[in-house]
Amino acid sequence: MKYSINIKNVTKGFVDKNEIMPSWMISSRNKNIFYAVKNVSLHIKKQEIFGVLGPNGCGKSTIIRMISTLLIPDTGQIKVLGIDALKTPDKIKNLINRVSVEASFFKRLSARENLLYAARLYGIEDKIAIKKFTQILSELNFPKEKINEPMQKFSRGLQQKVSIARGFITNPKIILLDEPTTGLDPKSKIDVQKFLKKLHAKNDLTIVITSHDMNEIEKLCDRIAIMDNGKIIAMGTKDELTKIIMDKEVYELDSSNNQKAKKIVSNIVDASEIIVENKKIRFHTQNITNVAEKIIKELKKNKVQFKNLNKVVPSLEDVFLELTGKTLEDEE
Amino acid sequence: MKKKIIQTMAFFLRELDMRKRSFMWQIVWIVYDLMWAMSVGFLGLGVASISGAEINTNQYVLYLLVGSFMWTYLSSVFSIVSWAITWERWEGTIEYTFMAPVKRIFHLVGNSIFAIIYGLIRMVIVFLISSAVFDLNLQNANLFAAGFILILASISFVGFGMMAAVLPLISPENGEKTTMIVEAILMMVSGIFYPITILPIWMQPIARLSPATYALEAMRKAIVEHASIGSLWGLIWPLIITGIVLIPLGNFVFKLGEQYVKRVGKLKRDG
Repeated sequence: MKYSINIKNVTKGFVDKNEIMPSWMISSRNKNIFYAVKNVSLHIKKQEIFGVLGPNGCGKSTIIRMISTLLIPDTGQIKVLGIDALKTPDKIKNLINRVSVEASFFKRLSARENLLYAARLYGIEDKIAIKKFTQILSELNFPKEKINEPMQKFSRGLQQKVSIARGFITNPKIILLDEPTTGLDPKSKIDVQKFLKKLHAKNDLTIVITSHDMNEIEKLCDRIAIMDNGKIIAMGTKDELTKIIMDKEVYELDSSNNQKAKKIVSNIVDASEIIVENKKIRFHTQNITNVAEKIIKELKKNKVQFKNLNKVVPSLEDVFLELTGKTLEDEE
Repeated sequence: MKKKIIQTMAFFLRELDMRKRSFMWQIVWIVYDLMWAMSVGFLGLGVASISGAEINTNQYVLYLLVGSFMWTYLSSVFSIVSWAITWERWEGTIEYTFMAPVKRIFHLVGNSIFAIIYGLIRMVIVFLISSAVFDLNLQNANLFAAGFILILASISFVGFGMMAAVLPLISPENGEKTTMIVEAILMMVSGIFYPITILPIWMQPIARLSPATYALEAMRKAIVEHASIGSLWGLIWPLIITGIVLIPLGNFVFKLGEQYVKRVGKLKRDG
């Protein structure tokens, strides 16, 4: 079996929560259905780190929930290690685990109590669980002395480290990480990323990670799917994806007034292909000679000091921009 | 088998940990139960002077207190079982619990075992203190029959709690409110402080559907009248039937509810 996860033509819709009437009072014909995932197919290889990149609300978490057996798709098929997740969900529960963006815990309980509860749910004995989570937490640089403190006293970073320990305590074959580092401080983010890399290298583990942080996805993943509006719009390795914009080049412009500069650039190149990143204007163009001349001329005319204009290596953000005409942050 | 025991104990120990972490609240609940029982007891002592009627005050106080003890216990069992899902929704842990390879029956049984033991501890404390304050005469009590009734009533109430637990599952917005209304209706119709014959005619069939009605009547007969298990058979069989029917039915309804919320996407914290 080559694939860990096989998703075929999966669609999932929800009744629009903005309806004024309760859903049971509306006939199914008149219900306003919002499709979070539209006819998605994904084949995730064994021992792969697979990334799903997309803005908030694009359907990433819905896919993770469907693989986790927490949501039943309207149509389509999901197989986990060859087992049908829809017909026999109980058979795959031992093989997977999940870390979500919200570190959901019994907050009055300590990290130890929460982790023991999580392990017992999988039938793991306390002494084995304690050994396992002590090791994971130490690799994540979790302060030992906090293990018996109520989790409501923890920072977001510490809570998420316990959440990651909960995900790995059961020795899953597949771990589903739904934006595991969102909201973490840079140090905690690095701890988590290092841990994932190390664990993946040591174990027969498939990792599926969703994020809207393209740097994280680029750094960790073997293959990446880019999602927008419930659909997969591109999939491949980072190199394969960046080839999508090969007919154009990516440039970064630095000036004394980037707000004004952005307006100027948007009058010259396609306005939908401009990003402001690291306080620089980033844009795509096929012909830099003409464009550069015009930009510099307009900057002078508008008394904006030109600092430099450099060609840069395209990132996944550029791919996303090229494919959708918007940035990953646009919808946050 | 060992795995199943560990999984069942997961819920028992989680509930225990939660109570340990909110120990002062447990004291508050016990004090509240005690004050409630004692207020009812004093009402019994005062009824002769209020009404001017000649009544056997000691027997009346015992009648009221048995109702009070039983309700302390049964409502505690019902609340813990039926609120199991509400807690998980508040904390946001429900998705993790439902992702785990644990059969729902072990989930509900683990919670129920805790509910019974916790409810018993609360009831025994209230019973011991109230008995001392009111100098209750329990010489006539058939404690063996009383214990048997308590076990039977627990099983029925666990089943009832399981049925009610599905409400917060399928309706995150209104489920817990509905559960509280169910508990309040049970309290009113089950004859905690009065025989159900004084209820309006249309309410009496509802009272007959509540396992608490049979449990309370049987408990009073065992404690006040020294009734034997054999003589209580008329009240015991409805408790056995409700237990046999409600526990598997509760498990079945819960599973249906689980399928429904997974289809419509209501497991998520915000519902």
